[in-house]
Amino acid sequence: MKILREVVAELFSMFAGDAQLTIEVIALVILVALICAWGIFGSTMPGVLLLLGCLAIVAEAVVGEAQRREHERSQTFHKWEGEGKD
Amino acid sequence: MLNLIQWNVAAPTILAAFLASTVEVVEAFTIVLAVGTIRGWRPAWSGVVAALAVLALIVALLGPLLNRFPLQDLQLVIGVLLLLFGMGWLRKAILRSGGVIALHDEMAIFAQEAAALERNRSQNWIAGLASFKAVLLEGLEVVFIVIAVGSGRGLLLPAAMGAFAACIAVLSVGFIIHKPLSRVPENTLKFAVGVILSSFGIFWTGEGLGITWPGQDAVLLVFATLFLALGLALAGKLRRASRQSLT
Repeated sequence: MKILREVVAELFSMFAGDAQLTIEVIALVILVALICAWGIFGSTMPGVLLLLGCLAIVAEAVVGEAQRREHERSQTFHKWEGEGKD
Repeated sequence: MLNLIQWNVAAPTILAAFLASTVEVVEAFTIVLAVGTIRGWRPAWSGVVAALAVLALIVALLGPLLNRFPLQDLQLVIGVLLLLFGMGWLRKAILRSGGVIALHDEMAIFAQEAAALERNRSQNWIAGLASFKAVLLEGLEVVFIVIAVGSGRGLLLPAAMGAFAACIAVLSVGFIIHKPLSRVPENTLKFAVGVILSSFGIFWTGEGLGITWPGQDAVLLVFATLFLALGLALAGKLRRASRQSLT
């Protein structure tokens, strides 16, 4: 049972390890699907939007994670510095 | 048999399956080697054989289902899954390359697994279970990769050949050196695989949505170039920021 849980968790983390990235990709695909369904931008423009959207999502995910970790690191450093002064 | 033109179409699929599977097989090999070295090869091989049997069963049960889906729906589902998987790998590989998160260390994983096995010396089945779990989990990823890069255009056989070649390559090198494959440039491989899978993801998602790609399959090269350029630029920016924060 424990193995089954671990397998399911592994499969889940394969595709949804980063919740924000997952949500953004799915939202982008839905948007592009709607644009395709409306058919107002031809059949190539939605592809360009999909490509640029994916590149933007990767950039945002990387920069966001780096900033989050930097913020955590500086908070830990300040806490450690404060403890040192006491 | 695949003729020359089909080989040209199949080459990116084989390469993607080979590179991605290499990463997975290296990870599974490290655990199996730890089990074999610390607790003997009988539990290690038992775990491997049991996991391969489960994987074969999963493929045999789920494989025929793939033919029941309309091709365009299958391309869309596989495309979105590839985007999630590939972009997730690419994100992590960029962060590792930029020094934000630690690199995957096969020697450290081997030592950690060996220490855990030493602690549980009395129960042999735990060692077999560790081997089984590693092969099953990494094997599931290999199965997904083969399906994802191969099923969109009926290239399951070339994709499976790429994955099989990766197994043979890793196991041959591992058998010769009998140590964790710590010198495999795992993050570089993950970076490349992230780029390739993300490119395939955009392509299949687009095909599934009815988008017409200019240049058809050749557009994959454009996608890969853009993802690679973005990844390298971001990794370089992170490394510079990391150096500045240290000085």
